[in-house]
Amino acid sequence: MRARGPAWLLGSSAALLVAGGAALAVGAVRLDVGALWTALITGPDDSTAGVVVWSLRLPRLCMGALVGASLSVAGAAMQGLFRNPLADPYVLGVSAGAALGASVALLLGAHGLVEAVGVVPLCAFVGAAGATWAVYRLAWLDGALPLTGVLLAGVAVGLTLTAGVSLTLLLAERHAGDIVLWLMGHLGGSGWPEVRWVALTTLLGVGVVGAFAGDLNALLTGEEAAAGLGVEVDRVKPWLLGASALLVAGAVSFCGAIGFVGLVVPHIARLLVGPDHRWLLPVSAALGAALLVGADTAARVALTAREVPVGVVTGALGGPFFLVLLRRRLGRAGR
Amino acid sequence: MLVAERLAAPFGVAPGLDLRVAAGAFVGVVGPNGAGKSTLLRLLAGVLRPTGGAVMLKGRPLADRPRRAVARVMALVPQEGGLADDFTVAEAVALGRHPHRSRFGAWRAEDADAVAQALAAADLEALRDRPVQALSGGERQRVLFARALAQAPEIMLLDEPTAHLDLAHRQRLLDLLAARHRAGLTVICVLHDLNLAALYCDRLVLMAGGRIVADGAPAAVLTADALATHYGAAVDVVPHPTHGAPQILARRGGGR
Repeated sequence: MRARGPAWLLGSSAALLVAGGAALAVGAVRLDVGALWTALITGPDDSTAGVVVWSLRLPRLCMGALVGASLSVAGAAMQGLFRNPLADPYVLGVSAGAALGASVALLLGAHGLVEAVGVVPLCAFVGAAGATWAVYRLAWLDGALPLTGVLLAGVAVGLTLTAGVSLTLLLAERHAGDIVLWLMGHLGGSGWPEVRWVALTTLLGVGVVGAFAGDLNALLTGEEAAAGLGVEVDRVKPWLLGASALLVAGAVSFCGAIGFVGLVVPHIARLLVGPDHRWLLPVSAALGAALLVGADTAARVALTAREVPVGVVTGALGGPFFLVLLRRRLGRAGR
Repeated sequence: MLVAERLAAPFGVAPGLDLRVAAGAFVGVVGPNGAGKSTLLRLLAGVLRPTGGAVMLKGRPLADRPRRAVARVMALVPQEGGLADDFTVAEAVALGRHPHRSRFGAWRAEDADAVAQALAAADLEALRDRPVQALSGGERQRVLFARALAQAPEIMLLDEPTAHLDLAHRQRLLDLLAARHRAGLTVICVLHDLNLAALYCDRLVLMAGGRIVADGAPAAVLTADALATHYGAAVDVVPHPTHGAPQILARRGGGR
């Protein structure tokens, strides 16, 4: 019944190609296949198609793919490590740290104290790193990281920092809209410099998580059994948690906390290829990339008057979808 | 081969426990509920770190060895849990190859052979594509055993491997273990069933209150006096009609 890994990896990569093609073609300036192809092979130039493709849509497409892959791989790693289907990339409190960093920067920017555009991702990343450090320090016990401790510390740190975000919203008054927009998650304004940074965190994070795919499989049997199978549990956990935190921090710092991708995509991938992380991780990455690129394209064209933040689209699609998955799972368990 | 020196654990094992197991032994660990048998086994396997003392494997402390290297020598069959529900039987057994594979290494022919042999030995071939969550308790126990076989260890540590098995499967599993033992496998096995323990093991370790209270040949350990003292049970001990090993018969009205 399994051994469908290669087929679905190919399938999800094809889905990414299709979503990418659509993302480049549709929008305020509609490009047909011929015009798109010409623009792609002539490279960046001053023509309308050249500017639209190379300066606007392609970087945004790359950003969507990288963020989708990052969040999905981090989600798969968290669900495997915590052996909990409800775990997602944001359980570590990293996103709350990023949100506080970004909203403080936006608040200061609104008062003209800093140049918000450049400072927001930096502040968000610093916030994410700070939150990760706090969770790590709180959960660290006798040279090990008990996962219950990590989970509780993540929730506690997340709640505390979210209170800070609420405070910035209150203080921002009429500028609160900018913060709310950021919190929803968006891909607008992604340029090549931003893409380069996220490419770096994605490659590093996915590389580390991928290197531990076999250990994640063994960890699904529980920490003691995994230790019996030769997994250095106390060394693997910090690597996986650290790599996931990096993936989330990279994605969230530039694009805000886009919801549900990291929760739902690993579940879809698991339905397709089973629980083996050697296939689950690459299929999650490709599928997450395709899904976020597709959702962002939908977000761009859904309303003519203005763009909908992609986080709203993923939430609106992901929530109901997750309910269906959950009901299926409960139904099976009840039988 | 496997030596525990002055072991202590936060619960389950009283400080200062010593145990030596020679290569090629078939040791049964017996004792009443809460005697510390499972804790001792987990300490010996290295999945539980002792708070005092050390476990030495082939002369070197377990704590100093990489877990991978330990897992190639020693396999643990846990009592319950230890399986991921979404895996199929074949995938769950294949996890036994984990310590033999390099991080990015491909699945080799010898891995496939080891898994195929383990599935056959544990009578699981018909169930190989069944998800683990659809199995009965006894079938799950056989999956755990097959996984340990696939690990190709020199020492196998088993925690109540027969708890959920019916009579025929109990015999099959212990006969299989005995065959592997004759082929050189060292076995340390926690058993609840004293009669089976006496029948298969060549050495029994009787635990009570976190200490080893008797250690030796089955006939020397399983005496009516020892069972009265440590289990609080009134029994008769008779020789097995075929094999001569001591067998325990409960006496009516003897429970305290």
